[in-house]
Amino acid sequence: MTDAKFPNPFEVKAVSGTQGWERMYPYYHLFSSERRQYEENRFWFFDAMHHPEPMYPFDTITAEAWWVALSQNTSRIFAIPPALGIAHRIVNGYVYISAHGVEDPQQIAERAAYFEKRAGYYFEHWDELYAKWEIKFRGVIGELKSIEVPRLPAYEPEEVVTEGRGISSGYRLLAAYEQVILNMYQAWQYHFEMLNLSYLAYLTFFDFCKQAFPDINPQTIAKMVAGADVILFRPEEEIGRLAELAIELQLGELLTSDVAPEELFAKLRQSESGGKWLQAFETAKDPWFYLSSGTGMAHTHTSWIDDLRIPLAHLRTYVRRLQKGEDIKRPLAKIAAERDRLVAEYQALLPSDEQRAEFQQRYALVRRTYPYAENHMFFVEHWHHTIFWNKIREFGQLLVDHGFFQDKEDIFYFHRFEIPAMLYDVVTAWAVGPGVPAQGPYVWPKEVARRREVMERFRQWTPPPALGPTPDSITEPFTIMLWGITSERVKAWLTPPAGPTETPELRGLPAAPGVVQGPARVITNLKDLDTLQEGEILVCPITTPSWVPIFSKIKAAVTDVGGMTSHAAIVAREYDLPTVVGTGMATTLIKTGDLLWVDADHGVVRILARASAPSAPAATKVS
Amino acid sequence: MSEHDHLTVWLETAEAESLPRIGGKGQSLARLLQAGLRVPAGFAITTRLYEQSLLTGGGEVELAALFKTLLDHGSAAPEPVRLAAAALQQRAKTTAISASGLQSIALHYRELSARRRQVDPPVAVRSSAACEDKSSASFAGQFETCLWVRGEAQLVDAVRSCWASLFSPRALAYRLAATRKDPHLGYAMGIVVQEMVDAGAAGVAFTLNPKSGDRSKVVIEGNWGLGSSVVSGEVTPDHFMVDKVTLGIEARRVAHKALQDVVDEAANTVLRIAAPTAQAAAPCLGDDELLELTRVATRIERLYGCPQDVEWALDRAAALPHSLYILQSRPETRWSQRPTVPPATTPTMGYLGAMVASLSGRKVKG
Repeated sequence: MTDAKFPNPFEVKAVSGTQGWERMYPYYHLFSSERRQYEENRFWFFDAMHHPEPMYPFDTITAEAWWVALSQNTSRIFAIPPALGIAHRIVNGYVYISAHGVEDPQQIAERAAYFEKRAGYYFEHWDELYAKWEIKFRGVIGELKSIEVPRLPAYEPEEVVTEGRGISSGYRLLAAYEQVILNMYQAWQYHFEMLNLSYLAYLTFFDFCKQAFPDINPQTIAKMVAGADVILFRPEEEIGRLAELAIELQLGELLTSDVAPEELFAKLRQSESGGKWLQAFETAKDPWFYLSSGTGMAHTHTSWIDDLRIPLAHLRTYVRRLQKGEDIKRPLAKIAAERDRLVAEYQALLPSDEQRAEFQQRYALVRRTYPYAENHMFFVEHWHHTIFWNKIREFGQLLVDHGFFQDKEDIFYFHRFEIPAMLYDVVTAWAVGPGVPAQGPYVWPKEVARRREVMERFRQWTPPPALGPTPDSITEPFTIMLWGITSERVKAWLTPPAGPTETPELRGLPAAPGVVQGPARVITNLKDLDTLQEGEILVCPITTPSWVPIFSKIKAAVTDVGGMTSHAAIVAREYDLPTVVGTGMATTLIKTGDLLWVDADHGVVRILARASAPSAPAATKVS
Repeated sequence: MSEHDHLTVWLETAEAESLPRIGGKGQSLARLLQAGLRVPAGFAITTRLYEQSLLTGGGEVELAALFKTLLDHGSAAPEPVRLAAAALQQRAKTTAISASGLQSIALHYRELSARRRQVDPPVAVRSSAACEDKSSASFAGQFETCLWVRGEAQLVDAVRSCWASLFSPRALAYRLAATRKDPHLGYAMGIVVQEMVDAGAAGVAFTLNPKSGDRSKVVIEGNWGLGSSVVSGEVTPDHFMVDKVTLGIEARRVAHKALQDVVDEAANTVLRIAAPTAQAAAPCLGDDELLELTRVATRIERLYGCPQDVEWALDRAAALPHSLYILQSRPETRWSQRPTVPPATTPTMGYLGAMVASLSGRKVKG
């Protein structure tokens, strides 16, 4: 055991050139001298899984919304007896989180009584609650879509008078912003409504398997639980269907040609079959193209619908595969049959009727509740957030129109409490009359430039994997299951990596099996995704389901963070892509061009040879 | 039906409940062979011949006296016990074996010879004691095994050696411990004579992980040459772990196997030799072999309905799957006797798991 420790959060130095960065985030989101005693005695880990990049100030609403929703469900609604919520802090732009628990046995017992009643209710009525949830959530999406971001006209429209409205566009603008923000917060409230219990059910099954079969491979457990027909795979399925339609309509050549979307659509419109295909394309878009190419929790994670070059690029890949005679469909029946076989055979290996019955009971519960865990993400982080980020851009555009910003994207440099003041500034000036100056144009563009620079400096900093005292053992279940953070992983973080002359070796969790060798492509910013070449090994903070279409290009994937139930692991297994998750520092240690050996049967990655010269990722357009 | 049936019996036709007649090993091998597993062909010499040869003419009295001494004084009186034991060992080595006994043995051995089309085929002659209580620890490794025995005379000598091993100090110590649990324990020796596998590699396989008790794994250990080097514990073998359900090879530890047991055909004996350097470092089993062994071991486990400790050997002269022989299988004793499921992985999970499971069990409809 080394003397190595994680830094005390109060001893982490600011990145040079970022003076004043603290004002970019809500005050309660920062480590604070007033709460020092509480904060420096907790274990905080860098949440690279959800927020691998420095947070744009506006985007912190997502971190905060899940901070509240996850926590409240654990601590105040379902009262999961030994657990409390997860606190957040931002350091040099990066999110650190700390899981809280209950130690006092009396308190645990008190919570147990609440938990039994409430969790019991949800498990008992699960199917009907899930059906209700979907209706509710579609309502939230509908409401968000319907919120109009008014422009401020020279003269209010006549309807204001003829309908006796009594309120102006200015007022409606202010109200619209509040509505959008509350809508986002509400979306996250619903996100966690059923999630904690669904993960708990998974853990209950997982734990039983580990008790009964101490050496069982966590991959196998995840395979037993995985649904075959999961919403997150629909977008990819739609691309597949469109690819098949293209072949059928003999549009293969046109659709594999590398032209800009507008040009492609124009060409398609010229023929009847082209028009037919376009119609199918339009239908597929809503909602299946509302798929973020990242986690959805940052505005920079472009969705397919925002940049049609992305799905069209995937489409080209699929058409080419079909032309080569490859099968592009996920073999759902085969996946389900294999899953059922694993379940039956492991169950049969249990030595008693009692154990077999308990296995069956726990398995039945997880099969019932896990679809929520697999499906919620599409509704919230993909579909809803795609609309949300674009709605905020409308406010951004308005502020551009009033000279506050040069680019509508600049709005994201400000946290959500700063925007209302700007809107009030605009509205008050507008209300007084034409030519009346708002203060914003004199103040904000400079501030945008300053913050842009700070963000750039944040990106150069490598956040330590954790802060604060190392816990004796990691026991909070979600920390282990979802983030893949175990006591062993924490120890590994404390061990300094090998020097450049040794063959560095990284260890992680084997998420999907296979042993391959190939050149690495390190991608930490989603914009560089298109630099990926055929046959490379992807090295990244975390992969998400929207990366699935590129899986056919790469040989393997290696990630910094992730547990067995992480999305990277789930998709890797479904697509038979050798994947090692949770290595901790792959994106730091490995450079693009390094020759890697990946043993995803055991979770070992070795750098066999270093790239001869540093290769800068070419910032090519999506092609 | 052979007229000598009460003295010798082919494994392929031995009856199911034959333990008192041919001992535990014989019964097990007969069962495996008759279930279709690849067990070397052979026959068992029954306890009847042992009784006929050793317990007549004063032998029974000597034996009773030995047991009494043992029980009364145990290890506190080594000298009287040693003397009594030595006398019985001498008896085993010299007593007359009936003509019908010798004929029976010869007949079966010649039949093996005919089947193999080989003069004086090499056989393994192994003790198969009829005193192993099913639930307690077996007498594994306490009795004599003679390997690479050729010729009728040598075969008879080997039989006598096996009988004599009943009275070795180690065997008697085990006998004492076992009798304390079960005072009426019998003590007789059957013998199994089987075609000898010229093993290129051999070892053991457990149908659970002996380290953790995990019943979904098969743990395989092996060395080049005969299995005796592994079973004796004197060589660190290669170690593998295969999952029964996924057939994933999940552990692979290649040991430096400095020694191996090989047959010296000229001298008709088994030698322990230094392994050639390249071989010492090479894994003795490839993936195909590991998977076949996993499948066979799992089949044996299903046959017996409980975890097994299996001895296997790969015949140098054959190819997979025909090369894989099962030399023995007995119930695993350490984990199989554990009555309960071990506690949850953490107290938190135990607590939560039980709660959640009971909630679902109690209330979930349909």
